Amino acid sequence: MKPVLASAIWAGLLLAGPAAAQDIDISDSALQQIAAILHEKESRTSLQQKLSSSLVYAINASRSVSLAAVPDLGAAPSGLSMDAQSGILVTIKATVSADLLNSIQQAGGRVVYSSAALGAIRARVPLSAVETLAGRADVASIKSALPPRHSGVSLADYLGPRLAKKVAGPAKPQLNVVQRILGKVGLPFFIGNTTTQGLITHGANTVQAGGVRGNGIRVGVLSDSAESIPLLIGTGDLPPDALNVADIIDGPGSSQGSAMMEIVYDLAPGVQIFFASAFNSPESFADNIRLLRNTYHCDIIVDNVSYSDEPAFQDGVIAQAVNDVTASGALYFSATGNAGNLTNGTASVWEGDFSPGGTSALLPGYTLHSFGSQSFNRLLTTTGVVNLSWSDPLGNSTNDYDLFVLNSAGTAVLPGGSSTTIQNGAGSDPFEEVFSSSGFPANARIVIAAKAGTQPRALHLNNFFGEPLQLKTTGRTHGHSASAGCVLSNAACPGRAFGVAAVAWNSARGFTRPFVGGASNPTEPFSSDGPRRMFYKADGTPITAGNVLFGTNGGIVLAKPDLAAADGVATRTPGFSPFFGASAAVSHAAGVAALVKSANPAATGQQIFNALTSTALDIRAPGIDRDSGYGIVMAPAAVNAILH
Amino acid sequence: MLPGSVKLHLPIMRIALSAALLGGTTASANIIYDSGSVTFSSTGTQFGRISRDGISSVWGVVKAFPGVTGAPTARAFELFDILDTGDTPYIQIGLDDPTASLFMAGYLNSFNPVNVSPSFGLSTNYLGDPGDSQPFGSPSFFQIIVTPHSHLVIPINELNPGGGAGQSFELLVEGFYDSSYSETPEPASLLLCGAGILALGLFRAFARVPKP
Repeated sequence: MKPVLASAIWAGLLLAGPAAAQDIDISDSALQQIAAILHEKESRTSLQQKLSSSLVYAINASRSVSLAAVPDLGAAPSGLSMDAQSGILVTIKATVSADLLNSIQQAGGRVVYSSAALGAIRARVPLSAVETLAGRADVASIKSALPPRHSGVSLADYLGPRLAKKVAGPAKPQLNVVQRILGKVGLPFFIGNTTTQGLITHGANTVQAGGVRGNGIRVGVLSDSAESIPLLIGTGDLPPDALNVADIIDGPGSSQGSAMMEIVYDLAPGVQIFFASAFNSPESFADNIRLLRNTYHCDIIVDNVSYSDEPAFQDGVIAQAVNDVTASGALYFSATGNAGNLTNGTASVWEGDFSPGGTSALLPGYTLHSFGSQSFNRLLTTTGVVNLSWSDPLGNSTNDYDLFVLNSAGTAVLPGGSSTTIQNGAGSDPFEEVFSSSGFPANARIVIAAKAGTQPRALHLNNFFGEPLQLKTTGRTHGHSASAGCVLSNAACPGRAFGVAAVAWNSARGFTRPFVGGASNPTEPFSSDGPRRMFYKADGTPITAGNVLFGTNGGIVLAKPDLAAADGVATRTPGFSPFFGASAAVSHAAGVAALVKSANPAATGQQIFNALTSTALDIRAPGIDRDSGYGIVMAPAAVNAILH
Repeated sequence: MLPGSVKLHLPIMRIALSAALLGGTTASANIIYDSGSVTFSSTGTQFGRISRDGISSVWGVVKAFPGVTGAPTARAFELFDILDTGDTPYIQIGLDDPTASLFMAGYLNSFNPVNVSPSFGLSTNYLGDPGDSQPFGSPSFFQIIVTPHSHLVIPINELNPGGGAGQSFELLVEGFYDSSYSETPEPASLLLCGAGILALGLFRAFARVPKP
């Protein structure tokens, strides 16, 4: 079937409504609540249409304007990132000027980051000032913003609930006997530095012994923060010239960037290493990628940060920065995340085409999506953030989908569980997001509604923090970590972008030895999978015009992740020993790449890509697979390949 | 398991691996002990257990004793006693415990659990612990630094009373010459080891001098 014809048939099915007689397995009470919420949506003023629905709800709540039929839903979403002193964290799309920035300040707000070039401001703004700012002609939209996340796992954080148990004994420093003795006589010889086990498992020690140490290579690390740099320089875990060139603004952070730098330095001790924060805003992240490349001339850039509103089917602002630096020859490594995969049954994503699941007289003008056998998906554990995006171009979505979270019985919409931002063309992004700081409970139902006239689109539904869904698919990796770099626009792209998955360093359950591949070294059960389908080029041009659906094989499929590397390793950064997750993994991959690049500085991006991938140890499914890409990157074989 | 080495329990027998075996340059030179897959077998009782704080002891960082939880409820432990860690001061201990029902720690010379608050004897001679049991399904590990030829004691305790019965696990102990996992001594490492031994000797000599 031709793609365009198939799309037309899908559209016809939706518009003609042949499923109208289908029973909707959502209770009447919930349908009535959804209808009331959508009634409010349809009544929004042109000014309110510039706002994300979460802001509209918050403003209504502040004015005690509640929905009579569903009084709880008038409340502000509990997950709004509030700051008692200066308001709600928002992203303002605007023509950035000194006058606008001053207006934010004068309204009692605080600008976190602004980028005139990218037309965006990250700010904390009093709720009372939101509509005033939205009324300005130079403001296109204001949306509530969520903090980003990184792909590293601090075991202490993971164990948080367990740590709440009563501890009977005191926690006093206990130097071991040798350390006490040596300290007394002034011989702290045994207080050495800390080294990742990845040095051995990736064979980097062998390469170092051969004199290849990353000399002459500059590596830039992007994460939340790197407060531990001075400590690590003092202990010899980082070189004296390690430099933080763009710090976190609303810090402190976790210092995870320091742990990543440690790993890179352990594998490639000859590198010069830089840090910049990716936590200030997506635009700041993008600017800092370019800063590391254009100002600090980093050959290799590595990050572990993702934002909840990164698009699934088109390169967003961060991915476009990745494209830029790879176009100038950089090698870019990104953690694909810890959001689960289908192979292990841990996937936190559902992807598929919109399928009409029936209409109801209780929900006029809207059609619910069918997930197959039912018109809802379920959260399997408590979940904080749920996102929906679809295959419309960024900034010009004309198809209006909405997202709801209901209780487990499907009888009521949960507080904060509705996202009804209006998509009506220019300025509209194909994105809805619900969030709750206390979390939506396990077994809550997720429902997607399409406004009458909405065309079927490919959908990407995910839990931002990686909690599993009942109905799940492949394709969790998205956003800039699924970037192909500049290859899509230029086959001769001098750089390359890599997404990296995680493999436990001791997954073979033996001694500290190099990875062997195969079934002995599977990816982590929480590692995010691919592949990634893209329907649009970065400029919003369809890759396959008229075909933006999975079912008709629209767009292009990128094999992501590209590589896998070690996690669960020792670092000296406080809180990150052991250091689990794709953040640790991507740092190892970047370290190996630094060795390869230093072995042959003249090698092209394609040659380095070939060296890293052709020598990788095959794991998971034979050949290139959705869990590990080409497999585990190994330093000796990759260096050998680049030299021959 | 290494040829010639045996998994033994206190007070039955003890393991003594020679420095010569450990100081070689073969690929397996850093293997101090491998229990193989064994079934938990109680050799004693402790009161409560070390609190899991999510932090692995690693070389170069002195981990504070994390405290005791669940005291004074009795829990069984199985003790592994390594009389001689060999030439290598950098020790890494791994525990593969697929059911995440066990926990381990390292002690110097002896492990002396007692029913006395607040630490119930668990902090005495404490060297380090892995902070968690089988994190994300992976074997847990911790790292410590000891003088060459130290006497290392590793109790493996059940997390919950009775929870260790019938559980299979594997204990792995490796030794390295430096924090870069070197399996063969380098000149610098030898110098450091020598300095450590010298320091130990000096300290002991000073300690013998009667105080006025």
